Amino acid sequence: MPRKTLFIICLYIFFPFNKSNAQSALFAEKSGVTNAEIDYKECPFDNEATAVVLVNEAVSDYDEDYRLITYHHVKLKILKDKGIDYGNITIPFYSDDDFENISSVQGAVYYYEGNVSTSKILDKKSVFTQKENKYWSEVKFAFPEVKAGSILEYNYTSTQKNYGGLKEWIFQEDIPVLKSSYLLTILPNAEFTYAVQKSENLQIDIKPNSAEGKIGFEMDNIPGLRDEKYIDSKNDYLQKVSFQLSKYKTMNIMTTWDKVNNEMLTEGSFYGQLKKNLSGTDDFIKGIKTDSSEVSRMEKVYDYVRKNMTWNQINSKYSTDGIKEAWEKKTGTSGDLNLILVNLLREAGLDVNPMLVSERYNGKVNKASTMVDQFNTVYACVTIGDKQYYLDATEKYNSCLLTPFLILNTTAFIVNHKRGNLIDIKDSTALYMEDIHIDASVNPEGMLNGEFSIESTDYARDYRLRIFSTKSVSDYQKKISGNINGLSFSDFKTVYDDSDSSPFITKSKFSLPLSNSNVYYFLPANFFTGLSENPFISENRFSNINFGYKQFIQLTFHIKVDSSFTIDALPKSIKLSNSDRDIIFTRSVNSNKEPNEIRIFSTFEINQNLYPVSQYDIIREFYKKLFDLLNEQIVLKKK
Amino acid sequence: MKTILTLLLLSSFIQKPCSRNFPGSRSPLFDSALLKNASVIKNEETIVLEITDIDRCTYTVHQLMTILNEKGKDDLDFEQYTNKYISLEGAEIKVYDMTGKQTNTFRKKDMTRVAYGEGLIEDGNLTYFRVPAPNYPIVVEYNYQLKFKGTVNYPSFNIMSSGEAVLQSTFIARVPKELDLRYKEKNIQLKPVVTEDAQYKQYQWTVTDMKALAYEEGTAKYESRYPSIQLAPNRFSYYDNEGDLTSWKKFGEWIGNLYRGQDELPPDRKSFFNDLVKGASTDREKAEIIYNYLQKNFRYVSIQLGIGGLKPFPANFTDEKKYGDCKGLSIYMKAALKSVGIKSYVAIINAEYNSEPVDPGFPENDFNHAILCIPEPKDSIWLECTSNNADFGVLGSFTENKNALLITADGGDLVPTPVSKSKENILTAKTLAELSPDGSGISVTTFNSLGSYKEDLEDNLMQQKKDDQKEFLVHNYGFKQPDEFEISKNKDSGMLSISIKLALEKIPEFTAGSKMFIAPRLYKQWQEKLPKADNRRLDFYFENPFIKTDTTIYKLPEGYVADALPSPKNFTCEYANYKTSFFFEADKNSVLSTSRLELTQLKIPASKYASVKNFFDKVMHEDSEMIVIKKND
Repeated sequence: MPRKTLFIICLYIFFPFNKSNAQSALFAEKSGVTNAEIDYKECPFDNEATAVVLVNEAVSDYDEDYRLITYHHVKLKILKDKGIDYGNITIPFYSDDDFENISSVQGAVYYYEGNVSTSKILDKKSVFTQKENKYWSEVKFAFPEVKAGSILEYNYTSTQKNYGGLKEWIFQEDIPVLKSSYLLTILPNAEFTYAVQKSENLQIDIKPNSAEGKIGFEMDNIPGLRDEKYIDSKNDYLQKVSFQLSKYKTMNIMTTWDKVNNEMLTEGSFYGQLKKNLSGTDDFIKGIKTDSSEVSRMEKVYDYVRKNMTWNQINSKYSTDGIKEAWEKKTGTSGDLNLILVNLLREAGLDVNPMLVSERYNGKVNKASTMVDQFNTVYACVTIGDKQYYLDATEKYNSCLLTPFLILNTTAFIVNHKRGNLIDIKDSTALYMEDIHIDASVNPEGMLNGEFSIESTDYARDYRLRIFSTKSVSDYQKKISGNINGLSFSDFKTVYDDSDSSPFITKSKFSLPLSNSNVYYFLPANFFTGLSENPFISENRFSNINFGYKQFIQLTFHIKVDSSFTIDALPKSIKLSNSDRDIIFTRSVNSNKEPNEIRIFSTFEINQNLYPVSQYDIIREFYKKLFDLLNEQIVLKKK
Repeated sequence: MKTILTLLLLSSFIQKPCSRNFPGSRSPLFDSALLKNASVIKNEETIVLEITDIDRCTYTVHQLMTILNEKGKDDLDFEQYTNKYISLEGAEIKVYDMTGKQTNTFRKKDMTRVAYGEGLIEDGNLTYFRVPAPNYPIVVEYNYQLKFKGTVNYPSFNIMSSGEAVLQSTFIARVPKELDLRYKEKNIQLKPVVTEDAQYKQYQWTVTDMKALAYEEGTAKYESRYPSIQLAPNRFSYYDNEGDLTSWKKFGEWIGNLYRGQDELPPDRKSFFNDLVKGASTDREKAEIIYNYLQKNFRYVSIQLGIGGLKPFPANFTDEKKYGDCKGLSIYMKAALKSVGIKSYVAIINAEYNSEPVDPGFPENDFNHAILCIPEPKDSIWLECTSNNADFGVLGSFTENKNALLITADGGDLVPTPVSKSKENILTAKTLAELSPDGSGISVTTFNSLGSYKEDLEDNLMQQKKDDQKEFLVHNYGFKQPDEFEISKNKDSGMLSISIKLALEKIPEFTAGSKMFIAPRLYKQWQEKLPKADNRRLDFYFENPFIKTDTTIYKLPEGYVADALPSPKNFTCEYANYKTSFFFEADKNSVLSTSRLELTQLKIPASKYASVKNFFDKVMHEDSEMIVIKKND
């Protein structure tokens, strides 16, 4: 089911008038239950849904203090027993500095069976507010008597200190939504931009009402969103509308990328951090300045920052408490770490700028919208000759010559004191690359003994190094064994250097008792490739397949077989590719008799780093065939 | 090579901070026996537990640790749980570099505080901080104090966990003489030095030079794995309720007081239940009817409220809401049974399949769950009231094999819960697969299941999205990827019976020339690779014992005959047995494959683990054998 996501390019909403008098009826939908809702048994566009949102609507307005007041009204129906947990409601809100509070929570649950109906009011005493952390709190409650067929309804009011709390309205949820609408009253003298992200085959109804200073958005019949493998970010696929304040009174706020650049240049916790002298770094800088290679200086600074700073797992574009304090504490946010990195790279005489990025899970950047909130963190962008390097000091196992995985196929914004610019980050040369060599022999008892080496380069190096450094050796061995059972290892070693980008090498001797049926012995032909579980078996997919990088895996397998066996069957020599010929599996199998010898050479390559969802059916079919082929084994027959 | 080099470097680095703390010339880092398996060295530790009154105690900790590598990073996490009755005071973390120079200090203001617990309302707060360690090794010093306003538990002396070598550690417990305390050694023999003054009794435990223990997978829960000293009060006060823990009976009395009066239902509900069980003749039948009603109409919601989460909501509240936590639902079930004249007891328990039973000789509050027990002269009926699909009268390994504290009118009564039985966790499969000459085919597999398999299939195949069902079949059960499939639930027969019809493009694993190579079954009977057995120190826990049987019939394409069949297996070990058979039935042109795998108990003693591991390796190996059929020319 191809579902292109598209943006409705930003429009400005600006109503210079004061709002009209208070509305008579707040919500379009009445409270209580309609006959249609009582009869509703199954979602017509998703018959597997265990619950549906019948209505999710909200109205935002301001009060005399220009606070942002949002009235919410939600109605949902439990369709199947498995859906009863949707009767437990959580409303998160930003409570730091009392920015937001939730009040007037009311709810009721209705149940109809034949002509008998019951309803119950949500008990106020069973509505709890809980502080989750410094910034966020949650209002939580569980509806009473929830079962398949129950209709749940609740209202609440969110009060935010100002219109800065206006971020987005999300139409879509993990269960189907029949109707979702949002009516916004604009603050006088303010100008907002909004951007709609939606699927091509869903309609949105936008109703500006300048006379009343309002704008309404509505979408109907929106399917639920499911988690998928190789999805970049669920955010990219959610049906939503986002808002940003662009002008207040006569002040212009970030309406062009140039303005964004200027804003970031004058921001104290951003560009303002770049001329700080970090204590105790002078000797280090002096020491590396003698190095004439810019690349080598960059590597040294990157290593130095990583060896001295620990990331506190918080992403930020800014250094809120200043990089000097972070440097003292040896810990900080991604903003602290990477602004320190930019600082020291500059001192080392490199051409470097801070770069706002949106890591893949954070979602795509909409270039037409100048919303800084689209970016979740900052990296350093170094220019050496005609090449740009992107560095993230929170990453422990990445080489700085390799573009970090998390920003592959994303858009970033380089902040520059002359002129900032948007760039698309694609690494066309680096691969996930592995070269596997196996040399082994089958003895008369049907035991396979041999040795292997796996040479992992670029993204494969990152991947292996990360697992090896954080897991035990036996876990690492389990991981590389994939779905081959009964492997045992000896003389196991790894060779790598964590300060450069040379390949990560795994070497070991191994043995495997072959399983047999009577005179037939079975020898698998797919060792150590990491291809052990087909990730694409779902029938449906809504998101693009974002591998991030291209891949190239090569296996050279040489086996000597004891003369008490004959070679009865071999995996097929084959070339399998998709119609575009950019995903290719090849295997050539050769054998000799007397002495028995088998040589298998196989390669697997993916030559695009991103496939649109429209190609999913082709990819699924390819992977199905691929895994059938990988299942093929060598069959030996005991004489 | 690299590791040796690192170790040498490290020892020269680390001498300074260590020598500061260890008088004399000996450096622990040259003691290779001590360092083996170690990723952390506890250089020094002093913990003082001072009980000043029945409801007041302080717990003061000083620790100096060397974290040798990334694998010891758990000891860089500072985590303290606090609530209205436990407060964290004066937390300070100092970090030293390898020359012994202090490089950093962190205090409470640097730490993060978050709400803790998954329930509807908070269980308390967690204050945490991860000590930044851009490099290893690193030396970290922790100093903090916890203040308890009332406690039913005393903190225990956890001497070590895996990967920690201990150079020196001292635990001092001071307690007013008239209160005194009780202690129990776990996985260590270590006597305290006991001294007294006019008011206080003091216990002091000291250990030195303890080697690190290797981490082992699949063991009992943390508390029972490593050397520790457990402490328990004789008398306590918790949320201003005084109690006595010198016997299970007395502790049960205290809990009973919290439960008193919570098991009453209004008259209309009583008569509702009497109506509900009208047709039933025995208590067992009545209880089953009410249990089914509970499973159909109530849901589990975690709500920790009242006396630190120990006091349940009253039954009429639960009746209104139709939800509750384990205590609330158990008390509710008790009230419903009471209304039809059946006596039952709420039982508190330490749940989890790998929790060891509480020690009858050492009463302490070590419980995290509540269930219900209907006493019977023989074989009492036990009910798990939080599950919507558990079998009536079967607890499952979450609460089996333990000691539960029954809360009776006469106080607590510690009794064993049933032992997990393989016949209560059953997966019986019958498959008919019809092969076409091109290897494609249609198959129908019927699973009849009980216990954990019933829950697994119910959770993952019933009312799920088709793609989720497919992923479960392929990734969890090891079925081949079907082109199409249908899942249907068969008539209820006590067992959950599900039929799965698959349309498969390729039934054989592969084909070559005129031969087809077919797996013994369409799915994998055993897929879990057990951890290594060398030097196993701790008992191994499976999640539950089980019986899995399979009968698979492959109907061969016209003109095909069996060329080779896997040899029949019959292997056993002390706790498991496995049997397979394969037949070619020429008249039906079918290959019949049968197997039966049974594990008789979930806990495997460490000394027997190697044989069990070997057994399951063989079972898994058997799954990779193949039925070979070929075209008869």
